[in-house]
Amino acid sequence: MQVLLVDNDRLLLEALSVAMQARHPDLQVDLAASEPEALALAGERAFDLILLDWWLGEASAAGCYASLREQCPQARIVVMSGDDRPRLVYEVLELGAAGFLCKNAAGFAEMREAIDIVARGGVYLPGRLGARDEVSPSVRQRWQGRSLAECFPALSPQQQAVLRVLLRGVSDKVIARELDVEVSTVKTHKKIVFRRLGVNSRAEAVALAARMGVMLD
Amino acid sequence: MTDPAAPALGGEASAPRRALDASIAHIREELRRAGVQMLGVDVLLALVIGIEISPASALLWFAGMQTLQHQRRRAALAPQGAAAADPEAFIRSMQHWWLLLGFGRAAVVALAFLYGQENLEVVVTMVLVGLAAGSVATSGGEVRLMRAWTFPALGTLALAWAAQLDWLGGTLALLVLALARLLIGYVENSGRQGRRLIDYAVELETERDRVRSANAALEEAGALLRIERDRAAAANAGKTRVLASVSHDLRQPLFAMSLNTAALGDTLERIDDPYLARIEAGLRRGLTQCRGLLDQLVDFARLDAGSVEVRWAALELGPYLQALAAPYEAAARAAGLDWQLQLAARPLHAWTDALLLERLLGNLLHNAVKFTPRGTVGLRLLPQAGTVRIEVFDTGPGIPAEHQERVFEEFYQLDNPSRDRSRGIGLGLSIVRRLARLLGIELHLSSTGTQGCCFELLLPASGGPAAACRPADGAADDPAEAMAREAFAAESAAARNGKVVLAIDDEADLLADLDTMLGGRGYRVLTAACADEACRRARQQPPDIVLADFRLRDRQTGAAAVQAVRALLGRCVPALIITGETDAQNLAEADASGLRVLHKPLDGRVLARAVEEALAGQPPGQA
Repeated sequence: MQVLLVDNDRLLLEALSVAMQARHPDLQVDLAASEPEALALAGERAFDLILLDWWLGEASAAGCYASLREQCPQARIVVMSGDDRPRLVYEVLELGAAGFLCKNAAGFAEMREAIDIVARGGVYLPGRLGARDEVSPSVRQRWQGRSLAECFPALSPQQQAVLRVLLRGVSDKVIARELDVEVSTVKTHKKIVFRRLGVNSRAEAVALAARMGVMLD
Repeated sequence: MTDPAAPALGGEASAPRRALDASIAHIREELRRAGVQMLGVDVLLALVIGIEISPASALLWFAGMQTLQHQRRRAALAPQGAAAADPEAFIRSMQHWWLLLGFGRAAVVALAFLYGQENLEVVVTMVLVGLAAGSVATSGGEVRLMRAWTFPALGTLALAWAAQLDWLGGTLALLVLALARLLIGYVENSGRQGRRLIDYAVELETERDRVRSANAALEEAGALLRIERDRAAAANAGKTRVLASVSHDLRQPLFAMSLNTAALGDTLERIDDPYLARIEAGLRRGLTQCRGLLDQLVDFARLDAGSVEVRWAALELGPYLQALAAPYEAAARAAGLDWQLQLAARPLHAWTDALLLERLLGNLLHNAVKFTPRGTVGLRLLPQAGTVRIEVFDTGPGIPAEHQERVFEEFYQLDNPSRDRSRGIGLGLSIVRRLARLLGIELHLSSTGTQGCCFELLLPASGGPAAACRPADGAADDPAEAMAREAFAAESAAARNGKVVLAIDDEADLLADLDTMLGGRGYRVLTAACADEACRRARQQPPDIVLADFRLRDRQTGAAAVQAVRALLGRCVPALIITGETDAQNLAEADASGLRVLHKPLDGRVLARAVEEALAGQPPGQA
């Protein structure tokens, strides 16, 4: 798996790559300390996962996010921040982030779990937003990564496909292109998927996926 | 007063001086005003004398009189500096002029009585009596001037009449003298009253000035206080900013260190090196402690900056405290302490913020475990009229009375002169106090000094079902808020307090799931395996909502079970269908039941929302 880490703090970049590779030696990790560096690397390699710090210096990484999204439609972009207030998490999830990593992880166990989930294609949200004890206790267990079909058996294969791309966080247009259907069809599918899942927004769908332990890749 | 020489009120002059100044001002004013009238009187007298006696003597007298009048006016009005510099000397010089003028009048009397007819004597007497009355005004309450004029003028008149040596002359002489005495007495009296008024005015002015200066002093003190307060606020804000930025800036490198330590730990799973493992464990312990301290700092900075939002909701405390206390129970037992958790027999609800209350109680429980070497720590929940009472107690060394107020101050620590970091940095209780204030919790500490501590918290009660009418604060349409509210599990429990859910499923697993997920949120869950059992349950206790698995045993469907329960109760109880079907045919069938369908595996929040919406009578589906 090709991973790109973007953070303006070199110390953190190094530490994060070391921590990820210690648990998942198969990861190929590239580091970028600025937006131009990140975009240059994104032009060279097809990343599967991008971890993007939300505060690159003074400004938010919204612009950088958009450029990376454009350049790497196949990548899951997970946003990182020291600020894990629900409002920010909600914002970046609505924007299309495929998860949220809090740089204040409460403990070693939580930190390791977050790395595992993100590295293995899961959806991670901090603390209570991603609390898995909200899921039916009969299916509750340590995160193992379950397929979309396992988590949401009530969805048709087509709906699951839509949800998969939706969770990765690309626009309706890209979803339509990837699934080779009309944009209006994507919209209809999305509506049905949301209703089946009992959610009202993309952010809630991502939160539900995190709680269910969905593995995207 | 228009006279520029009039003494200004409010000067530094003493009261007698002020009275004199006022008299002088009055005299000058009268002289200026009465000049024309005097002239008229003099012209008239001169005419009468000229006609009755001789024009020469009249002219002579008139000229002399006018000179005197003119000189007096000049002396009185011109040099305004003299009067101001030495009012006594001014009065004395005026006294001379009054005396001279008095003699001037006496001259008329002499002329009239020596050379004139009787009618002239009468005219002169009348004029002089009139002038005497007029001089009451001119003397301005200064009795010395009045006497100086009256003695020569009226004295001569009285003498002249007395010299007639008949009863009429004697009577008139006595009357003139009586008038003189009366007028002098009047002037004296009015002068005294004037002085008294001035005294009073001065007193008032003094008082006014005192009040004014006191006000000015107060204002100045207020301004100083404001400056001081602003400085203190700025210093406090500065402190908060520093705390916030320090803790923020420390977080990132600390996080990086944690990541590196974690990587070291993971690597050690592959290579076995006990020495390195000890290093890793040491690093991990140090970092864990660091993070605990930093968390407190961040909490403190946020609370201090007032940037902590309260998400008010009704919270059932029993299950909440049970869940919250579990890790502290474990910590207490690990430290060899006994643990007590005492809950009320009936459900108690508080109106509070679950997450902030958890931080508050966490700090207290953490302290209790940390500072109690042996004995018991615990938590009590008690009902109390109007409020809910939570007590956190221990059998530790206690807090001496003299420290009981100060322990809530930031960075205040008992008995930690070496500032042993493992004992914290003294922020825990100051965070507790700030959180209590934020949540409207009354906080009391009782400690006998040796018998341990007991922190009593009086929480605002939520009236249980009655509170359902109260809209949850911030129940806005903001989806981020809504998500956050749900995320923090402090949902508006109000609506569901004591609501009865009837769950129908033939699988024990799903029933257990429903019981756990809904029971934890304040619902009462009844379970049934089939439609018959569901009806029996419903008869014993009518449910507020029915949840049924779509496919039950013996080809029963959940929809049919719902129909049976509704028929039994005779009303359209809200109902939801739960299904694990994946087959499109069966799914369509479930959808066709007209009831809202939820899919397995269930998510607690999705389920809770669906139940809440169904109870509220909202149409199923999305926003």
